[in-house]
Amino acid sequence: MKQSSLSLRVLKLVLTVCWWGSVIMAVLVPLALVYAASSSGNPKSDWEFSYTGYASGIDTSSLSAVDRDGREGRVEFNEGTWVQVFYPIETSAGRVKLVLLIAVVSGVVLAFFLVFIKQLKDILDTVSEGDPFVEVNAGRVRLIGVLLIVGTFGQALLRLVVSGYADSSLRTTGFQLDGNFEMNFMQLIAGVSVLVLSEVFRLGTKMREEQELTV
Amino acid sequence: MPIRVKLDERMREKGMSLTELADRVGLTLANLSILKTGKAKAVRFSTLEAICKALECKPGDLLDFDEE
Repeated sequence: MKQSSLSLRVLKLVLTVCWWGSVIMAVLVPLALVYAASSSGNPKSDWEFSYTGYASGIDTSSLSAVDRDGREGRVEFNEGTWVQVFYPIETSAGRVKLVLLIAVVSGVVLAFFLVFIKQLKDILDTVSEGDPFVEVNAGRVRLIGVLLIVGTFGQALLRLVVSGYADSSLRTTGFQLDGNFEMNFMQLIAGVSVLVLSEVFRLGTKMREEQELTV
Repeated sequence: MPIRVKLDERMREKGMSLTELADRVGLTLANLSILKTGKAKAVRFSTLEAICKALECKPGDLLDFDEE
């Protein structure tokens, strides 16, 4: 049975665009980094490095907001907020370090994304072929769930490391920096839900196999 | 699986081919072949009954249990 519904074709198109977009990025990013590293000796290029931190206790005394009646209100941040603090990079060694850091982070993110998209593409291919209820797809769905969960923790850990590094490296005035472990719970729940569905899928494929082999 | 289907032996005893048995039982050749080669995961009572009738035997004559 060949499926070619509009929704299926749209999904295939979206995934193909995502896939090739990621592949092109995987080629372009290293090229851009090589170019950046090779031009790092150029004194005219303005290179900046930023610390990303989680700011709280922000001094809002210089901030103001006036309403339509001309009354001045007090400004406060409900909670902390992410801030970036920029510094110029003046040495070649510092620029090369930054390029390497970007290479590692973007490499990991791209690899993660490519594996994720590949699973979706492969599942959709089996749908196009008319037989998606195969055990290998249960494994693919499970891998998607695992990637979502690992991604959630990885992201939170990265934020903690980045904000902790900023906290330990900078002396601030008018606000304070803290290490912040901020987890995307919706993404975590989505990952766990996908894992549950993968187990349902696995059992379903087993039941179908048994049904087919019942004489 | 430790359950062995002895369809081959019964068919030999009766001098019946797989095609003939499939015709008599009302199963497809492919399904009967699954049963004969031991790939089947389950057998319906109705199938067992039809095979027993066609081969004039009892269910116990068709099934064996080999402990591994």
